[in-house]
Amino acid sequence: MLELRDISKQWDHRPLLAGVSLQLPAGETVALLGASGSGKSTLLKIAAGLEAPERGSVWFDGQDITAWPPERRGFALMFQDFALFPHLSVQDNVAFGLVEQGQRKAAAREQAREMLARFGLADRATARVWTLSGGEQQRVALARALITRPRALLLDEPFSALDTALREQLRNEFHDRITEAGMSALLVTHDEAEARAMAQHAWALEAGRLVPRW
Amino acid sequence: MTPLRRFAASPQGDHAGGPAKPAPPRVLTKALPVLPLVFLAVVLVAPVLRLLAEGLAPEVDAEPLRWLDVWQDDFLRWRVLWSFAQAAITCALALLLGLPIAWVLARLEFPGRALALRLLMLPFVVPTLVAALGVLALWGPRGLLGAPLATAGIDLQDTPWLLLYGNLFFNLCVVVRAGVDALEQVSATRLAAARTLGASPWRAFWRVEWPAIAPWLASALCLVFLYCFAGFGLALVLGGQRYATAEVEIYTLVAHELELGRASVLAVWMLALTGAVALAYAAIERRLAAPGRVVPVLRQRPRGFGQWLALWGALALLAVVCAAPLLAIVWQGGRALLVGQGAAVLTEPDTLAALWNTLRFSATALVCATALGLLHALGVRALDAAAQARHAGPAPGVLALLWRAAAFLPFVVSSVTVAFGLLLLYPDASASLVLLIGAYVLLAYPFVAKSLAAALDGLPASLAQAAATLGARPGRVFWRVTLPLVAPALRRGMAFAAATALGEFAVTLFLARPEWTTLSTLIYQHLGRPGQANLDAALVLSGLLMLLALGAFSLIEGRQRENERHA
Repeated sequence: MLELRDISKQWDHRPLLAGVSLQLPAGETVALLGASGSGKSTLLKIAAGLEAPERGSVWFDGQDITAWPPERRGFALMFQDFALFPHLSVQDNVAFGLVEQGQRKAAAREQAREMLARFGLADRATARVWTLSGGEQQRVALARALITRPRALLLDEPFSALDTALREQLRNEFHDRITEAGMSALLVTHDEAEARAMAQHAWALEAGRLVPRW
Repeated sequence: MTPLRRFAASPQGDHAGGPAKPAPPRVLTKALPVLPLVFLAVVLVAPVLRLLAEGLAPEVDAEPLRWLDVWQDDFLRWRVLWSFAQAAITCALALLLGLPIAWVLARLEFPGRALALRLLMLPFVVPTLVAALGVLALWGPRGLLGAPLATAGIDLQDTPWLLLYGNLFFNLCVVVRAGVDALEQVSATRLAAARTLGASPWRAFWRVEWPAIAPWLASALCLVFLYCFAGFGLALVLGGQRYATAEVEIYTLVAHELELGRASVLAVWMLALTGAVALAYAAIERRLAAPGRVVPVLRQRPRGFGQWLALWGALALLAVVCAAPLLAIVWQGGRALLVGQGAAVLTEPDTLAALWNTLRFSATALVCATALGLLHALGVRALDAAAQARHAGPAPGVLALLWRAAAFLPFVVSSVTVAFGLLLLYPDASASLVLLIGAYVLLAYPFVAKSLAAALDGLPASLAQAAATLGARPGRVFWRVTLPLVAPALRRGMAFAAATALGEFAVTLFLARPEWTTLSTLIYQHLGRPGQANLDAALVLSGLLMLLALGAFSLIEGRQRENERHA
């Protein structure tokens, strides 16, 4: 279980997070709602180890991991802009994390192609990422995150760059895939409908504090 | 070509902030700026401080020149005022000719437009001495156009026109490039709004486009002024006795008359005036907003007589000012090689030695410049990230800002000042190869640093963060994600650094021993000797140096791959 304990952080001399505590039970999806600038993405980055809290700690399965660098934590983060590497092919993007885990490139590619086939992207394996549609890029980003079997999935407004119809289709697909993988996921979004479609529980971040929604 | 002008062609990364940087940098990254800092202190700051001390309180001369004596001495006053005047005239001409050309390139669509924009880069790569020879090959007494003019009784030697034309060859492209970039950032919707509110095309240009592009042009003109004011090679070859600049006078005082005190007072004045213009440039740059996303004005095919005339006029102007001197070198060099007395120079031991020196000095300088530039640019990023983590806000730290500005320092201080300062501070090492290469590196490394810093600023932070969350350690993130994505900028910076080193002239003239003659200084030696054979040799060597500079630039910069355009 991922646990954030009493996290505080200032931004531009204003308190952004004021003693936020949150638990992400294994196998569940929790949504974090809030207006833009409310600090929800910062909280996600603190969980991922990309930003350091001024106060508070991050725990996983009873272990304090606050000082761990992001690469050691094993949480895959999906970004708003997908953050696909433009200099790598689709399959090399998906294989990226496997190579970092020490797999040989050929084996990692093979596994990436299998993953892409499951995502309906088998024919795009050698394509360049910028030739993909928005929905395809989103699937590649999820495939890249899931293939490393992360300990938790952190989703930062993953559908905000997509149009409404595609957004609805993909959030259902994502929900199914995350559930199927038995993964815990922390979903940051400003869209309540999206949160309801994907998450068992939701919190709203208001004035630096968490307010339970459901 | 001096480094400053080439700076105008390299990407600018002066806007601080940019995408959020990953927070707390690890200990190693904090040490990144140390090596470039020590280098700058030893090769730039200390020599300039020594020069200032000498200029303000002369110790070397028996009868020192006092601080204000420069303005009482008719000759020195003329040198400084002329330096100022030729720079100002070049700025005015570059703006007058460059703005219409920029408008044509930014607003009209025509076959060969992309090629024309690419050819605009040419003067940025051409060494100063080659450009000077190009001007002479065209307008000199034995030049393609100069010879018929001389027969008609018009002698351009010992007039200011050769120097002004040489200045324009280099600087018209600076203004045109800045103008094209600025015009492409003018919002089409604002222009359309002005038209629907009753403004004619001219009024819309004057009231909407001009205010938007003026700051960019002002910034480019500051660079043009700095280049011309602090220029050395062109003024030395084309200025003659009367129209040489103060930088040439400093060289003459140091190298030929051994009046170091007098030279240092003049150098301090030049440094002060250059510094004032550089501050104006910095102030303008700070006010330039980072371009947001605008709907650009669509280019259209030329319509009507006026637009066709503008197009052909612009292309003809570019051909006359920017292409003609290079074509003249090719033509005159080819003639000297095939039917003149220039072929022999290629096999002379002096030439082979100069070629070898040019290549080994440039290669060494390029390797060192790349390492230092990389450390400098990564240092900017590390300091930015450290400041953000410390202040918990987007405001960049003072240290990060200063470190960014430090990459600009070698552009502000002229090569002559650097070389003179080095001579004064390290008199015992004045004939040392380490010092000479150090000066080469100083002139070359800022291209790598600026180009990389701009690329790193433009890199979405999410890419490195994604790699980190996928398990990549910082070194692996750099190797697998950051480096491949900034590689085009690194190559571009290295290409400019290589062109700078290959064509270096002023510093070599000051600091090199006779056995360290490079192609640039060998060309100058041939120019200083009488007779057609020497002129032919200089032309052939100029052609060789031009080929080397263009070849190295193209080889290093390489072809842009498709994924790099999307990076």
